[in-house]
Amino acid sequence: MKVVIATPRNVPSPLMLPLACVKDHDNVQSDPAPISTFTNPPPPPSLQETSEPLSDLHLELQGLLTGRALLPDEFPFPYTQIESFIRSGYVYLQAGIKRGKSSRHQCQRCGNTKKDWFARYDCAWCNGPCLYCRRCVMMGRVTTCTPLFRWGGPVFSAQERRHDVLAWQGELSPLQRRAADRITETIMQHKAAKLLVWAVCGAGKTEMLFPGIARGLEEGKRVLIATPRTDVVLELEPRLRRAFPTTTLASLYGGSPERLAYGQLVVATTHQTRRFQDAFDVAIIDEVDAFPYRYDESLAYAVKNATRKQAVLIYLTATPDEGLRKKCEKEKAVVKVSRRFHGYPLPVPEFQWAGNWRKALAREHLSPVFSAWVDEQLTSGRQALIFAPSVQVAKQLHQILQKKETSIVSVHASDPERKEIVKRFRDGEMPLLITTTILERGVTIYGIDVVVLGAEDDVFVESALVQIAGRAGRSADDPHGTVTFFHYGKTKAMNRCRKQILAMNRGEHQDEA
Amino acid sequence: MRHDRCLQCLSPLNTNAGWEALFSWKKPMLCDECQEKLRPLTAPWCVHCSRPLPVTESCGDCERWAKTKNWSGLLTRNVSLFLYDEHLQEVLSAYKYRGDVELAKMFADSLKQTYRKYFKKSIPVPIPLSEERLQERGFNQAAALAEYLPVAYKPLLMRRVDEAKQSKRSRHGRLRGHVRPFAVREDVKSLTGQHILLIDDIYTTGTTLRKAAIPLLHHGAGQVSALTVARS
Repeated sequence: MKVVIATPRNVPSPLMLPLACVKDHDNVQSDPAPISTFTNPPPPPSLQETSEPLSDLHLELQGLLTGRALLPDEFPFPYTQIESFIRSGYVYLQAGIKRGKSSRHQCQRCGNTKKDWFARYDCAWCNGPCLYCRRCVMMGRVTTCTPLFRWGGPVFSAQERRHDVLAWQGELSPLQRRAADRITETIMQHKAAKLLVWAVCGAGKTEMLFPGIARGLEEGKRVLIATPRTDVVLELEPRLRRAFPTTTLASLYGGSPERLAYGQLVVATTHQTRRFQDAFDVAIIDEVDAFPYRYDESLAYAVKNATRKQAVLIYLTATPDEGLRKKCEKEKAVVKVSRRFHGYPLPVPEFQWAGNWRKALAREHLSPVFSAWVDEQLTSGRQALIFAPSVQVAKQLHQILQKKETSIVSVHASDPERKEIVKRFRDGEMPLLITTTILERGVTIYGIDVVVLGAEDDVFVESALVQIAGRAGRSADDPHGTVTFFHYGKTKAMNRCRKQILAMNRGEHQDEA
Repeated sequence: MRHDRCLQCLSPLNTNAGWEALFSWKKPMLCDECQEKLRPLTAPWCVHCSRPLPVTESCGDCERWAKTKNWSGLLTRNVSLFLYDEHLQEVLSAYKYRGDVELAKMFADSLKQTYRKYFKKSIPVPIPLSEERLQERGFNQAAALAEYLPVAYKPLLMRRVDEAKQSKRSRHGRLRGHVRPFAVREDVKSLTGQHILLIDDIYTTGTTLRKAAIPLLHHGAGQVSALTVARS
């Protein structure tokens, strides 16, 4: 769309107006142009105080735009309906893509500055060539002619003090309790702070958060839980709803119906976090090292953008990367939970030399040790997950193993039946399931063993291996799963993974403070 | 433009792909995984509409078109590039509805090659959108595809009647519609004997393309063919 700079009647200073909202009596001071071409846009106008009672539309906009920037077509009504709010300064326009320092473009929604991730196209909105941001295009296209609508009025505050927001009455283990106290303490500092919660796979992280979140909510704080996967949002939402029945909760993921709803407690995918600006007092970032974070520098930007200046950041992970670990250790902002909720130690991976298993696979053979393991596993009757380094290997393996047992299947990220297959495995319909790294985290299946074929492959970094090993022995009834890494040459990642698990089991990480 | 990531999934492209990559001057647009998911259409297929068949011949639908009064002879041939399976459906919806215009580039090479192979000297004309739909989407998905052909396209057509959720109507519903949604733009001179090549994203029943052919033939075009990305 195009915008102009104009001074409306009865308004002291010029402001940015969408072309579609310009009236005859406006004093227009520029040609209509895409918003990013204005190098010196006027500052958001000062508010025109009104003594009139707030309209329904006012309240709706306040809820929609508090802590959030929306595209023109994201309103549940035509954007021209908010014309009077733009004129009075309650809503103002900001360029969606700006030319920043050293003339690089920056997407003002997701922070992308990578040249490769901007694309040019013939834009029908402004009848000219536009750039758009490909990184966040799944949330609606931000182009060089797109304004982001922001709230300039007093913010939404449904957040008066409340009591007893937590309905959950479960019990925490002593270790969980300790971590939960640290979390609560950090949240209640009321100033910018961070805490790394380093908890082994299966420690029961969500429950440890409850007391801290509850205190924060009671104090009127706005809380975000960001997680990399939609699956996790879907899993957390009902649990949070049960735990905090009186709190307004919004769960946001691509295509969720509550996309625009206001929540004091928000659980969202990383992508959806990008919609928020200056919104949260507490941000809890789950699986901080996980895909797609690991390769996604924009997370830091998104979180910084979504949180207030004095916000508390809580990082949750079983496998922190070195950078974060060191940073937090320096500030003594780490709490470790080295035991699973059921109290049994983590299964320690065993290494098995499998020779040139790739060559064997290419000839439709299995390396003998691996073949022997398969036979043994099939006779034992225990279920196992087999991790393969690539889709291709998974498929080759699948073809060979099917000859031994027809019910064996393989699964990978873009498999349309992925959920169905995992469910069938969970129901015990097959003894072995071959998977790529997609099932490395977040998935809890009780009472299984785990193997990796080709643990030396580059995809199996230390954290991936720790997560994979963490799939075994999750149940209190059956806490002793086995973990075997079949390899063609031990790697640093494998050794470190083993060391890390042994250290956790020795309880070396008991206390750092 | 320099690129080192897969156009579709934005994952880094493998740079150590061996001899082939070393000797090829062109970098692939897609990573192997995304490329493999596209299923190119080839013979045996329907000679008229590219539908996959056990042997190359004319398919039942095309036979029916040929026999139906007022509908026969409108479209000489449609060539589609890929099978419209679940994967391509996802790609095209990301392209059209989510508006990731750049994805059109992944079809660029196939579009070019197919044009050169079957439709040399024809004039590409993208299927237009109604003004309302164009404003909603911000771009015309057919025109963005036509950009990649070896010759410049001509926007000869305009859409008078709204798409009216075409994609949700059944085949019967689409065939029955007697509306003429397309017209040749007023400033277009006679098309005497020219070969017009309609460009669109999907060939489903072929009704839209045939409706678009009517005004072009009236305007003097010698024949009208179609080049589409997906055949369902």
